[in-house]
Amino acid sequence: MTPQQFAQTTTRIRQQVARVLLGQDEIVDGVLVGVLARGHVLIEGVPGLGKTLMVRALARVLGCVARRIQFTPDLMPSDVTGGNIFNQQKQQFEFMPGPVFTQLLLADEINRAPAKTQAALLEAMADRSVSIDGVTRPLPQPFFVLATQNPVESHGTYPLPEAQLDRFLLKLDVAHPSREVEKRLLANVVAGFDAAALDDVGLEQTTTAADLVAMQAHLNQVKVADDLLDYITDIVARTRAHRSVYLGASPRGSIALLAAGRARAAMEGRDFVTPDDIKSLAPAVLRHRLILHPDAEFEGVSPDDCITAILAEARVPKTPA
Amino acid sequence: MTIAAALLAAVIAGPVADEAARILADDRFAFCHDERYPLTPPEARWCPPVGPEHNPRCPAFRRACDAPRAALDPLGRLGFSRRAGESPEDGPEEPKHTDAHKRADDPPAPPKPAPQKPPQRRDDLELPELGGVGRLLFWAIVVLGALLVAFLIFRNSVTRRREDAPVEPDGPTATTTPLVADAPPGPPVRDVQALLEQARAAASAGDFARAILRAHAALLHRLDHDGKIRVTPSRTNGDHLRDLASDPALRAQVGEVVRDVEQVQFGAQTPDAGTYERVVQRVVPIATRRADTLAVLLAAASLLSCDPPAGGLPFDLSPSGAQAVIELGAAHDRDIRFRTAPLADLVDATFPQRNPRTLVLLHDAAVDPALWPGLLAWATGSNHLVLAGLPPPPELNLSLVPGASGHVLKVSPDLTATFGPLELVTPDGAVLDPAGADATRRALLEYADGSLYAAQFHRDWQPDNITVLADDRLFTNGGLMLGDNPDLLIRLLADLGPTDVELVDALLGLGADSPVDAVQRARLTPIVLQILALLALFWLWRGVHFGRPRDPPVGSRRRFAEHVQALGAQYFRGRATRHALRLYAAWALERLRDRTSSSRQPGLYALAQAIAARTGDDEHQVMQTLVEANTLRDDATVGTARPARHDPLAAADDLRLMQALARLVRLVGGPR
Repeated sequence: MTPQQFAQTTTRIRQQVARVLLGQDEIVDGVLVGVLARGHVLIEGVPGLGKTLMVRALARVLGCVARRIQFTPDLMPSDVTGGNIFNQQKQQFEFMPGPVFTQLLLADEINRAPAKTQAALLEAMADRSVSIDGVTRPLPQPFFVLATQNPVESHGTYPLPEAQLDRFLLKLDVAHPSREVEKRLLANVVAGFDAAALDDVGLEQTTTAADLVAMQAHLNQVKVADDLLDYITDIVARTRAHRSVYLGASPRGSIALLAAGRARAAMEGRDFVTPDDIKSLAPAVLRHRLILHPDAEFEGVSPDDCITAILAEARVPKTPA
Repeated sequence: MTIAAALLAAVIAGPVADEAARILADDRFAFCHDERYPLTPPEARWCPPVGPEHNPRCPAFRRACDAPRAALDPLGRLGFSRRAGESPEDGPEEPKHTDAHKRADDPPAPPKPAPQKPPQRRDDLELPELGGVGRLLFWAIVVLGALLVAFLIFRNSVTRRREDAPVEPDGPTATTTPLVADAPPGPPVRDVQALLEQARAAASAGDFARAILRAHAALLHRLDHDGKIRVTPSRTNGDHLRDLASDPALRAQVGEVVRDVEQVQFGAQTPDAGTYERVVQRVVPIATRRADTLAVLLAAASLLSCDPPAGGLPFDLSPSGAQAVIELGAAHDRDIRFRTAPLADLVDATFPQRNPRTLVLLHDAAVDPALWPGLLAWATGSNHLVLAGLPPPPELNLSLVPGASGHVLKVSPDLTATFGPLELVTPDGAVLDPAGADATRRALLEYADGSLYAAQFHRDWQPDNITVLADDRLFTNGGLMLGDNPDLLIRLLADLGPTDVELVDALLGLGADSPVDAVQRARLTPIVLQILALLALFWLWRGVHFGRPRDPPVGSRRRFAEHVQALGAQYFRGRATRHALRLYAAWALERLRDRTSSSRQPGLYALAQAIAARTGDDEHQVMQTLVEANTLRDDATVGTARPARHDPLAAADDLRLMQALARLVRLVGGPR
């Protein structure tokens, strides 16, 4: 696969998803980066912004199987991973796979489930396999989790621990659409669009699961200059020394930044990474990996503020300035 | 020469005076049409020669002689009334009209007005009138310039507001490593032309990687100088392209350059001449665009810069001006003009000599005595030198004597064949006094008493190359009013030969020596200083800053409730809600006992009864709340060890209990 073919494929994916999801191009791009970089994406946003619709549309366009789990306080780990159930006819236990055995999984409001259930999913995300009763079962390929959480309602929630947040490649913040986009959305509804009936839209499948795996493998051929490794290291190191940050990004953050940068470069039709790939993805890759000092939080400093300041200080390789 | 001159004189005898009359009939020469035209004292000396008779060439001049005199402009000596300030210290010479001079049909003279302040003649220098296209272009440039300045100020203010977020000063500077592999040592070069030169030099040396990077730097700095992007060490090419979102065409061009450059910088492509040529071909048009615009503006500005109007400036149209003389000469193939180049150029052998010409030194011409030998030597061959009212150099053995020999001159008998029997009228009566006999000198014009007015010299066996006149009235507008002056002027110039005639007056050599001097002389110093001050302020506002720009710290006071909420959030994040509840429970129990005066009866039951009686609440529920609070207070282990993880449900229970206690405290009288 050439870089141009790669870019054409991702462009077609974007175009197809954009037919049903208006004004969320950046989120779609971020999700695509996560899919291609073999990562998982955490989306933080209020309900009703089209997250489920995006996953369904994406699954249809990518030719993958998609499932959705609504996380609730009474959700058990076995409700996610599945479990052994006694078959009375066969007089033996049989494994009933849970919804995690899919290719695209939407974990809706992941912070509403208890920690034990969260941990079950997050371990599956990291290992891409599920171990039950001593038996390890691999998950389908590709495997991608899109988790969401609501930043507003905090009562009755179980915030994800920092160590588990680190397993997400990207954290994307979804905002309300602009007035123009919302008006177009309403016009579509007036014209008969029904989010529950995606079949009527006629979305075109652009890839297969095998193609997606091949595209993931293609990222290994994307060249990364030595200067850019320094740039990534510099950015991540600065997160650990920033005065408002109690705990900076881990080496996993550096690896995530590199992988995401490669995916973005390939999506742009390049076989090499540029500083802009790194810089533009740094907020999404790093924002959920930083723990701020309490006093900084009191002052209203956000992780994005810290990352912006860090990016304004880090010197871009080969800049003529 | 004599035969030719005689033929010429025969041809032009009549028409020249008519031509002068036609020129002076133009309304531009107001002294011939405005009876109240204020004459300066030197100009008023023409009044006696004009006399009371009707002058068909200049009909209003006679009445202008009776009008109040004009005060000499103090700047007249500097040329604002060219040649009007001949001798301002000369007292005004009133016309010596007598009753006998008045014609019988003249209207009675009006009563003499009371003495009043002499009117100031409007010889001010005024800007020439622009044509339609020029005016449109001028205002278009002015309006566009104003809009451009306003736009730059607005955009700059917006850009400043979008400055990067405050940067933490204690960042890990130690981890910053110089990553610009291609940057030469020393401060970064920001000059676009220098960067392009470096690119060309590197390409010539075969270092195409460096050449491409230098060309790319030139492009970025050009756009930075134009305010279209901001180049800082932390900004990427993607940032620059996003800056150009408002100009899609330029963004596409820059994007193509960036693609090639990044291929070289971060890709696997080996830089070669083709890539360099491709980059430079895209960079140069953008990098030099502003220079092209500047050239267009300069060209447009040059259209606005115009020569003095063909009709002459006001001081050239006065009786002491020379515009009519110039036009009369033009009508007879004589290109008469005021000289602008220094006289020293004529005697400088290294200076390229132009066509032969006649150089007329008027009475106020400033001639360095050291130049005289050179000037006299220059007046050989086809070049001619005329000294009109200027004291001659000692070599000519002549001196000027101001006198009153009369006003009418005649051509000397020796030259009557050449110039004809012409009469010259001049107002001053100045004469030339020969210091002795000179075989090379011959008289040209003489007064009736034989005193010499003009002479010609033929030196070193050369033809007559030097002519000396006692004054320069022949070369003034006023000189054309009377007698055969126009004919004599044209015949004299024709006799001298060259068609190029240069007049030299006091203005020659008075040009500024430096731009500062020019500004001072133009009285533009206050305006220039104000512009410079404005530029300085603009520079201070937008110019190079000495450090990283930061927003001023905003001092804000938080409400007390915000502090409490923040403290509560900190306890919550610190998993210490139970600890906070224990402290509050102890305090609340103390307050409840104080308010209910139940300290004499220890025990929670008595306290619950008192509270229930006071508040009306259910005694059982009050007792339950007090028991929970008392248990927490007495449990020394609470709060000493934080739970392993957040327990939102437990925190919610703690909050509920705290709110219940707070309610009881408030109902029994408040915290104080």
